Amino acid sequence: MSDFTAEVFQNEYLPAGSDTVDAVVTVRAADDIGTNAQPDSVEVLVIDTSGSMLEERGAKMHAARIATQAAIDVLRDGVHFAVIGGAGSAYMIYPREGLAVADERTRQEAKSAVARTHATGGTAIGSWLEATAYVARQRPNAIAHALLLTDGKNQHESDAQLNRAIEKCSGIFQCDARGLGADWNIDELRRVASGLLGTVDIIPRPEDMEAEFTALTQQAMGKQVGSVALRLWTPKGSQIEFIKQVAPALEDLSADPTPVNALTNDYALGSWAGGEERDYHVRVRIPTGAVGEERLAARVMLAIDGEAEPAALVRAVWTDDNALSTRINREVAHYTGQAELADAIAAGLAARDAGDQATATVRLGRAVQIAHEAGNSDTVKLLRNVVEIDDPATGTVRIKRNVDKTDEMALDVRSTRTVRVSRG
Amino acid sequence: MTMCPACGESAPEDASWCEACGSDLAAAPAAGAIPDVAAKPCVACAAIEISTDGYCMECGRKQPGERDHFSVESGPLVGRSDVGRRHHENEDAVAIGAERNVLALVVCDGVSSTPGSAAASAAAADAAVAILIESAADDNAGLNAEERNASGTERMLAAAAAAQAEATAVASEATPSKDGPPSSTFVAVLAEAATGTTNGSTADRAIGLATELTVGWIGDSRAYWIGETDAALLTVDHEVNGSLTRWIGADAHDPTPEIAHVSADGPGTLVVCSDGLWRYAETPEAMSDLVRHLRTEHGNHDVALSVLAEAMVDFANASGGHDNISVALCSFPISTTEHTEGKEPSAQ
Repeated sequence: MSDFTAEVFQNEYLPAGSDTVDAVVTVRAADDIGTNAQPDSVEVLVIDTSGSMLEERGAKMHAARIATQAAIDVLRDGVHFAVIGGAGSAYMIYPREGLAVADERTRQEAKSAVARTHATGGTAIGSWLEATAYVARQRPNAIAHALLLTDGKNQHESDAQLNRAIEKCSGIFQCDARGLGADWNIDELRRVASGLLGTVDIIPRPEDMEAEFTALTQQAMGKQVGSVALRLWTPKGSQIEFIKQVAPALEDLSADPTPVNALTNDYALGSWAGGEERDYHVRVRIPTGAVGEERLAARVMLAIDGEAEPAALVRAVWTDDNALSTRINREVAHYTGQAELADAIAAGLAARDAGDQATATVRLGRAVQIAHEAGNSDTVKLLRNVVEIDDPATGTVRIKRNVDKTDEMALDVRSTRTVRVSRG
Repeated sequence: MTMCPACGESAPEDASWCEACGSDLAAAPAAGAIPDVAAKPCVACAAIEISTDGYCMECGRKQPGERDHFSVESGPLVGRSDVGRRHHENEDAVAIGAERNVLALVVCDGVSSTPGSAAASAAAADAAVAILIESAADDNAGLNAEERNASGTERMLAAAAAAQAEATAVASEATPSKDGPPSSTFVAVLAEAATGTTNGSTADRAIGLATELTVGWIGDSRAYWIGETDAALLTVDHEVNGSLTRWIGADAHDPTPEIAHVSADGPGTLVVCSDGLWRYAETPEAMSDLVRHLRTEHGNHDVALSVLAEAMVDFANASGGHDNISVALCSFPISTTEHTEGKEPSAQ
């Protein structure tokens, strides 16, 4: 019955008087979860068809059609799906209303409808999300996923409208958001992805779109279990300082838990594929105990479709043995470093935008140093587009003068990607 | 009132589903989160719900475990072990055995920096005692002193080897740790009275008379002889500047015990203990004073050994209880009646 397992990595030994317990929880889905039955899945492709998609002599719109058709080809028979066009408001590209059931015929019809799509109008991403929720609600128990593409900023509705839409859609479907080119707003799509338990990334050129759409749809088709939550019991008088996903990417989950009872909260982890592994960093403050005392700082459970499985313990043991309490837990240290890396990149890029070369050099240099040490080779590559690296070990860098906008955006949007701690 | 086995939320007795998490309340309880309402209330906050893995379901406090304080008694032997004041787990083990003409006392002190040492020390101590008493009633009346010593040495080596094998076996089950596999100290005393065959029938005899002691040790757990007028430390610590130089366990480089032979030929008390006790009474004189003082404090010279052992543990805790405290005791001369008391009659 244990489709999911959790393992805790921590130094449970605390010096006298300390009240802060850090732990990394690795959650693994068994390779064969849910293979007995094809899960009930909903896939919605949300394609920007605003006027700006006509730029580059129609190359963007052309590539978007091809990419969407490729994604449709990946849809498994029996999956409920829709293609939604997004402009100043959302409209159905296929089917006319609701959801279609994927088979040879509907896939053909959908692809023809996509081929006839024309680009015109504005960008109101919140309205696209609401339209997606509207169709996804038809199958409330399905694993619902949306792939959202935009090439522009959310110009035709307010920020508040977008935030409200994200809130309304939370729990109805998950959304991977992709920005094409350099004219979209990272913060907007990051909010969409964070709120809807998905990922955000840049697609620098139109020709990269087909591969990305195919991969994302395949990934969505691989999800076997829809609604998994990390259930945390913490003792009376304690406080969860934070809980964040730290691998494969940083994502703070602290904000809105669902209370189960006075001492227990659920943190939604979204849908999972067989064999998937993710890491979470939990920091709990608990009433301090006497030397020699042991307390449970958290009981970690996994709630799958509402049913909880006991999983692992986060413990606190107070000791006056410094050799024990000063031990650094490798997992906690690694992910603390990964969080600092993301912060350094964000701060460095912000300083660079503000014209503060000195701060930008220091922070991006620090980012290079951490990324080099921890083995974030992809991040080092992205940093290299923005700075000249003189010595990665000391973080000695010089800010580049002419930087491609998409390179800078790629570094920004991918700054929260982490590498896993090397084990063994 | 009942409790949800999955999330711990309370529910009406007749409820079939948990309102909080939707779990089936009639289903087999999930391991690890079941409250045992019949158990004692929490030692810290007096809440009544304790999970099966021993934590208070309100404040999270780990409840004292069975091994935190335990006693063993066998024939004329007693043993006590206590977690102390500063450690959260008792990794010491005490095992004793009395069989016909043979007594065995073993103390193993699990090394607290290596996880799994509690299981390793317990398994090692039990295995050693089993080996030491196995040979009870071997015909030894005809042996001279040298031959008796050789036989004691042989058995002590076998007991230490069994302890080492058990500690190593625990290591293979333990989660690998960068601090090394589970490890433990070892001290054992084998007390043997002469026995033999007279006119075709085997009889225990002379159990209360001169008794030969074989002492074997690895590490810094100790054995003391506390006589009426004399006192002696029977072991020599394997320790340099506070660090163990020898131990038992999967990474032990030399698990062969050092061995000494002593004759217990007068009235006295044998004290076998871990450093959680002897740190507070290091020299033979200090240990002797302690025993004498505690005997006086608890009435008279005939104070029961179990009372004395408990008092020694209390003394170590009162002195700070910086480590786990373990002690095993035997009084000499041993009366035959005391020996047979509380144990199965041996097969004739």
